[in-house]
Amino acid sequence: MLKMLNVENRSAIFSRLVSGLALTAFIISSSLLFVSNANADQLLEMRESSYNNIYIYKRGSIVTMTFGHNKRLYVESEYNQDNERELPVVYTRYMTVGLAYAKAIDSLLEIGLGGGRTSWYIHKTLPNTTITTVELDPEVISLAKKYFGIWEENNFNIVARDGRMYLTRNTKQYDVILIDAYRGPFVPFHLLTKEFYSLVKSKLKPGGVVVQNIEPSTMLFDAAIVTIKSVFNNIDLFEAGGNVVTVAYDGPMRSNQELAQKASNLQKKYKFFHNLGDMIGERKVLSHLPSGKPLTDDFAPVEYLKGIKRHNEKWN
Amino acid sequence: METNRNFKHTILYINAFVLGFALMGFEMLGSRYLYPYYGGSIETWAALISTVLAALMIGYFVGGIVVDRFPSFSLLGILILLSSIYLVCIPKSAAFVLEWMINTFGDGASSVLLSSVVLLLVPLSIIGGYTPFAIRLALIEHVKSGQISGMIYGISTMGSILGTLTTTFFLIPIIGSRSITYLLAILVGGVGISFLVYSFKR
Repeated sequence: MLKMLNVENRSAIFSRLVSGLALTAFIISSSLLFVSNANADQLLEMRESSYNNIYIYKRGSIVTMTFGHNKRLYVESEYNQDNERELPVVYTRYMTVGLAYAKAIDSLLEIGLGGGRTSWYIHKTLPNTTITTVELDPEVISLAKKYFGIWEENNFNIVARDGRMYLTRNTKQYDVILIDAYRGPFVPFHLLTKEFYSLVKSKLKPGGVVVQNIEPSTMLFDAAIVTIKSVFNNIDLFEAGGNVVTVAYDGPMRSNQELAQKASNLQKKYKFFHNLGDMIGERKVLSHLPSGKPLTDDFAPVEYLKGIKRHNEKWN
Repeated sequence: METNRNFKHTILYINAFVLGFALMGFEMLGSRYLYPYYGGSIETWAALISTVLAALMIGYFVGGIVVDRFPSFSLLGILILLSSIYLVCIPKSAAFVLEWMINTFGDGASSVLLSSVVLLLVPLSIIGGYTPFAIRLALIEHVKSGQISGMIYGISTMGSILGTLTTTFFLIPIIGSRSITYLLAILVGGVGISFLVYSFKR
């Protein structure tokens, strides 16, 4: 009898223990879920295109476009819905420095749209500049329009096409060309060769400039610098939140004073949210060319170069 | 007699490897030629892959018929030499041809497909035709036909695997696409010459 009771007791204790544990686990997990929901990115949409797996996330007021699960590597664009005028990704702010170099700012071409915030920012600040953005992936364009607060309108056009193909097949020339076409895991070699930059140069109006975003941690950076320098007289660098933004132009080298003057005039006139004059002040003129040969259509081992880390030698 | 047969099989097997290597080497290289004109898209790859498969298809069909009528080592040698001559011409003419294509047919799917056909279909069809040729020339007795055709396919596919990997991870990082084209064309030419020499010495 006693034994029986004992067994019953034991099983009662056991079942209470189990339900207690289950309840605790439920409370902990649901509160964890709540906490993580408050902090985590909410996936708004995922689309598979011919070129990318595109993810749109939202955290607070920030909308993010990524091309893969690994956000640290593949973030393409960010948009702060609470502040129309802000560019949350630091390097994209520096993409505007080219405006202070260019002789005129009537027309601008961007290769590589992402969320479209960079060219939209320039468009909203300089409404009289005709802006065209070329983007390979039509799904990227469609998602940018859906989630990043941009749309096509007068002076703001988007073309779905390979950047190099667009340049080859078009006769138009531009005052400023922005190149931001290789990020994440894909490096299209044909947008990094001497032939490509020569083509870009032929599409610049006199006094025009090319601005490019380059990721500086691998040997691909050195190769890109050497290649750009093989086509343009001058190349300036701006350290921009882990990336490097380069400005390439022909003709005599601009002085710091001249650029500062131009930037402050533009700043006064157009009131850029991210101060142009401050950014121009961080200009670094390329002091010595990295070693290596320019990349060509014939020889451009971009994946290989991207696989080699640079030996922390300073790039400026 | 036995050593002659062994030698014949050896040369057919080695050359199956070399041609398999070159075939996939050219497929990987094709992208380096087409990207600057048609952009880096999945369409470019679809065009290349289907062109290589079409070349194999044509090679298998036609090669099989031809070798039954002319089971000749010298004919095989001459065809493969022609293929290598075609390949040698690619580096110097590619820019002109591709520019012409893009100006004439635009840059859509049919244009990239046509360009990849012009670039690769003829020489790779000949390389594809090697397989039925080699099987027919290697066969001595019916009972061994399974083993021999298996060897030819297996070895040539082994070459293809190595051709893909070597071109992508070893050759493209160290020498230019044009140089790789010449290198592979020379390998193919070597195969052609080896058959001509073999047929004269026999």
